[in-house]
Amino acid sequence: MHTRIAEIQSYLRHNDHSLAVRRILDASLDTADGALLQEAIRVSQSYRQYKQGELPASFFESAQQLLNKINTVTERFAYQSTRLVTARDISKTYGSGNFSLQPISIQINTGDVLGVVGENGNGKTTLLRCMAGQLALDGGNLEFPLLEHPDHYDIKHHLAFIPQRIPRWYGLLKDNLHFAAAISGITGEENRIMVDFMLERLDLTPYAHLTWTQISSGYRTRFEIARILLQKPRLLILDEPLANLDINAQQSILTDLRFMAKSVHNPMGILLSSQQLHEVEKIADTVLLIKNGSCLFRTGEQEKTAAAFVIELETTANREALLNILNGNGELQFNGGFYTITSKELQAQQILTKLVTGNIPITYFRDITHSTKRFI
Amino acid sequence: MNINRPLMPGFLKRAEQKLLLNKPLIWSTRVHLVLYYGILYNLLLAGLCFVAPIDLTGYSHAPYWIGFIVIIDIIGLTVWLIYLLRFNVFKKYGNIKPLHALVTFLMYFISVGIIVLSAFVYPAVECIRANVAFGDEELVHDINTMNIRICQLEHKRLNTPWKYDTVAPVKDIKVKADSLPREVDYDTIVAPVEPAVIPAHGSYKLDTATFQDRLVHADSVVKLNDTMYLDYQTPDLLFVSAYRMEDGDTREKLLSSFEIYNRSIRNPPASGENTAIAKELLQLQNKYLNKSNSYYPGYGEEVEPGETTNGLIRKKYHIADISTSVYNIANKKDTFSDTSLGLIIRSFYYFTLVISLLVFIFRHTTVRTFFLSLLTGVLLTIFTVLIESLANGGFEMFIGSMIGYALLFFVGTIFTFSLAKRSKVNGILINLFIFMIPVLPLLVVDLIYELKKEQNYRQHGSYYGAEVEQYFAYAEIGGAVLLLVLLATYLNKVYRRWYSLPEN
Repeated sequence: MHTRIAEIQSYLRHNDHSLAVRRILDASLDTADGALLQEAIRVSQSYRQYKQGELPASFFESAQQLLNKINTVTERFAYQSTRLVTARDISKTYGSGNFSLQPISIQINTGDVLGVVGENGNGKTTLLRCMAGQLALDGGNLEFPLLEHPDHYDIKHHLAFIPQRIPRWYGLLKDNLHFAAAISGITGEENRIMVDFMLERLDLTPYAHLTWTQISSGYRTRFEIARILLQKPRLLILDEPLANLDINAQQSILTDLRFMAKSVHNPMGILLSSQQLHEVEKIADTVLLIKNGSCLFRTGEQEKTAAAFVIELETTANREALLNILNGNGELQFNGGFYTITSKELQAQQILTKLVTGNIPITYFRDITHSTKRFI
Repeated sequence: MNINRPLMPGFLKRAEQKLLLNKPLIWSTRVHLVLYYGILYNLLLAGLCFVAPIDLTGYSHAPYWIGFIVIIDIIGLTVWLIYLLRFNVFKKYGNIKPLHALVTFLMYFISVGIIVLSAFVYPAVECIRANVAFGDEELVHDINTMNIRICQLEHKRLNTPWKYDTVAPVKDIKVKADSLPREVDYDTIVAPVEPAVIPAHGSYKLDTATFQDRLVHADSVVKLNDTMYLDYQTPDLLFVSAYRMEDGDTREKLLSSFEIYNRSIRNPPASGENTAIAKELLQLQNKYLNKSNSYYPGYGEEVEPGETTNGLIRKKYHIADISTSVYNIANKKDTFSDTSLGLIIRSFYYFTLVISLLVFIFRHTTVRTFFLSLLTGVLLTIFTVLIESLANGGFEMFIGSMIGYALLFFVGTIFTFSLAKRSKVNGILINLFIFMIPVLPLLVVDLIYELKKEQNYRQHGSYYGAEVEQYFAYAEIGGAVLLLVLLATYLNKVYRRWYSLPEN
């Protein structure tokens, strides 16, 4: 049994049905078999039909049958990571001269998720627009190894940029998806199947026959992602994709993006910016912290590895109680919302143990030793 | 796809679905919908025009209909544009083929064409109805009959002495220098002063050839002696005029005054026949008389002191109104005749072309650059006219400037390939260049024509002799071909490059 199939079966066994269905769809897409894909769409539709109540046994049977079929062609799941884009010391200064993006180098391969975090007005969007070929560079260069002698049109066809403020769609949402697929060369029956797949995959089927004004901003983001994915970009650039999403949707979209980046059907690199750094850190291979137009920190950089363990803590206990627990083995800072504990001696788990044994009520605890949060 | 459009048949729904999934470029232009609804609309309009009461003898209502239809066309065009602007393969960086620009432009041209075409439906139906109601033979016959019957009824009044000229042939005519006009207006004179005919107080001395010709075509000639003749001219008996019917290819030809004279006055009817003649004339009068043709009914029909016989008869038989009716009928019949067809085709072509080009440019450029291009075009024209008036330049200078601009715009388009950033100025030059392509050959031919005219004037003292008129039509066709060729080869690449360049 292939590990992916085993993983999906485990989701089914432990009632993670939604995740299981999404992963079944992904797996069937990766087999590049239209019949399996259509079967997966039917499984997903069946799940949607019963998801409010108890799922019938027929759902599990059909899911299991499909998984068995997929298991016979798992050799198709293998893919090799290739270099998509290399940015060397790219920089940008706006004409008004009030903001400059300092030279930054980035490399993105297929399957990579690269997060860009930072406060507002520090250059995240500028960096993303430079990478998307929307802004002319003042320095450095971009290289797209997969394209031979590309012109700018080829480059923009090769990548997709989803801005924070998504331009309005006109007409039926489903027509827009069919159109997006068709202009990228997905025609005929394949177009119909892929649109149905994408609608199921992003849980958009009930909204397909609506218009832009009839859906919420969160669904607009999902539809935009669906549209872009149908165009099969090799590099997906998203500017603040989480801004309009509720907390559950944020988790779901980020997980989906992670899976889609590593899809065998269309492996791609993802570059996204966000202010939700913990969420981004969870799924990104590399996170860049941008401050005042410069890359302040990049996860994995040895020279900037933390010299002490740092945790964030939210509690109703007072400062004295916490200092007693630390017993001189760390520093305590309070920013009004939560405490930051920095300790060279105690690791996060040890601090947590001390807090629990000391009967300190904990409402929030996070180890930020390796997080970009340390720099904000 | 959930299509709930009115009057949309099943085959069109299937076509819509197929196009969306397979031919997104064609689907996004909505040409299939415009064609279907356009044909439906034009057919409906034609049906309406056929059943609408049209007084063929009255003034044409085409201007009102066209005005009304143009308003509907503008609404139709706006609805089409709203649908068109929803989807754009080019601006979404989709897969575009080398002939993308050409195909897109042709789709726009067809769509705009079907909308513009509706403006010509009413004149076409009016023309058909006029031709069905009044055949050429019938019209000529009626005009001849009316003129003969009027002359028959009024033969006593009209039987007056004829006017004549005294004509004499001479072997050689010498023109005295002082008999020529002292100041010659070279702009209006088309040829050297004709020495063959020189008026001499109602008598003419003609060269032999002209003299013979005059004798052959004379209504009546009396020979006074070997060298002098009296050339009599029949009085004007063409009461009902025959506008545009003179050169028709009807079996029955329009009668001349002389022929009418022979049939009516020379051999007048017996007095007993007058009642039947008057009855027949009245029937024809009723057929053609349309009082609404007079701006002020009854005006101009009062008999004034000193009224001529001819004038009196005209008023008695309402000739002015009848002639206007004949004129109106002939006018409607000839709406699409050879002489006016060129103008109609040109108005259709240029209206369609301009709108299609505007739509094409809008769809391949940024909104700001599009409107800046329009503004630049207007400002450049004002600037050119201003410079022209200050420099006292001629028409050729204006055309020369336009050709100069076109070349400048072309050079601007070449620079697109060396730019690293998308420039508005460059975009404006591209947009203006594409707008000038269809008229560029026309401008060149016109410049050659003007220069040749000028050269003729300097060499021969006349503007004439520069016969290049036939080349204007070739230039117009050449302009269209040039546009299509450049769209398929060059402009496709220019727009692709310019639009995808990064911004500053």
